[in-house]
Amino acid sequence: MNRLRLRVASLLIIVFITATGVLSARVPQLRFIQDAGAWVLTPAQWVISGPTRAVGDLIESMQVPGQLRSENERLVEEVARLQQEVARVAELERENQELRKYMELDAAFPSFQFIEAGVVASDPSNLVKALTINRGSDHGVKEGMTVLTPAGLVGQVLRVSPVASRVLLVTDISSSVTAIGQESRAHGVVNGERTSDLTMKYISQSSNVQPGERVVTSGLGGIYPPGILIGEVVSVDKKDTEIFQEARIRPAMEFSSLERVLVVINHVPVKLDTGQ
Amino acid sequence: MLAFGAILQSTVLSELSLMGQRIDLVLLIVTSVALLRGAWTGLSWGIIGGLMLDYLSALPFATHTVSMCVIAVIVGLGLRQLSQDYPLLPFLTMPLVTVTFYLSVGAVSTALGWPVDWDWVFGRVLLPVVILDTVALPFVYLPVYTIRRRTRVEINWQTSHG
Repeated sequence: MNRLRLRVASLLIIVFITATGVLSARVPQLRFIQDAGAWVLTPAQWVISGPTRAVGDLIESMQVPGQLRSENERLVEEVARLQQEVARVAELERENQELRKYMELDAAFPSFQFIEAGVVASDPSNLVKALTINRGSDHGVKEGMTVLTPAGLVGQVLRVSPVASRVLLVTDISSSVTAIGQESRAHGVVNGERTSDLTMKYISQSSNVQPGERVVTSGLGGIYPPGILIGEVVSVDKKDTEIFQEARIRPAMEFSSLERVLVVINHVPVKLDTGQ
Repeated sequence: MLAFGAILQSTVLSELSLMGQRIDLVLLIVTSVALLRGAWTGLSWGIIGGLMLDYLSALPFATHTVSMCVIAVIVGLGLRQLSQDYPLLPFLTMPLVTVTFYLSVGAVSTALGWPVDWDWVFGRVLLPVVILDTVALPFVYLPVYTIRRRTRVEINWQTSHG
């Protein structure tokens, strides 16, 4: 009997709660029942959830150092990987720019055949301005061949071994290049100087060479092919008492920072004495 | 050591320049050896060191070999005797050694068909090179001295126990 009462009471309570839920959603006046429930239950929730959250936080905080450590390690690895990636991308970008310049050079001198060479050392002597490149006779390099970069003329191959070559720079005091001013069409000979600049000598007094003018190889004498940029006129020394005028030329590149050069392998200097 | 010195001179040391000029590492090694072990040992080191430089340089072949031998003999015969009485003498006479070396290189190079602009050598090259070589000599002399002392002790030890 008691069991039956209990069952009926339970059933009534369920019906009441269901009816309250359904009705309070439709009849706003009945919402106080829900609010009253919330009013009673919320503090209870707060009382119960407070310590629960505290215990949870405590457990979480006990787990955090381990997580932080592993997270930190992961981030450090990530930073290192990204730094490496940034360096690689920067190098690729530099290489890309260099290759673009080489393509421009190919377009400017379609008749030239180049081989690329790395600069491996400078000359150990202080009395000569020369470089060692990692291409030699095994790669088709011969004495006298022209060496350049997309920026301009570097020099001439002086000595060749099977796997390396010495290149005499145009800035060496013993170097001479027949040259021409691009605008004035003034001919002269560009010599290496004691400073890092070059001097263009034997310019006719009638020529109108001006600062800022670009000077290129003229090809006279057959040693260097024509049209390769040597540098830019910085100043002109013209005296009425002299037969020729001279011009100071700033080279088209910084030779101390050269890393790669191109050797023109299909232009072998003409030997005038043998008529070749 | 000399091959390594010659390679260093043409690569890493070219970055450490004073007014565009660099330390003559091989010359410093040969000078140190000649001071410590005399003219004959200095001469053999001078030949090897000079050959190394000649292989790497655009100057006519033998220019450095001849000049290094000249220096080894001068230092080994002359300065070595004096330096036993005056230990600081090598450091003070290094400018003279450097100038002699460059005069020799210039003369031999000119004789072999590569003329040198002496105005440029005296006006621009010698002063920075003399300063660099003199400052660098102790940093080369002391390791060579240490190596020599250690190897001598080892040889003496081996002889006395052999």
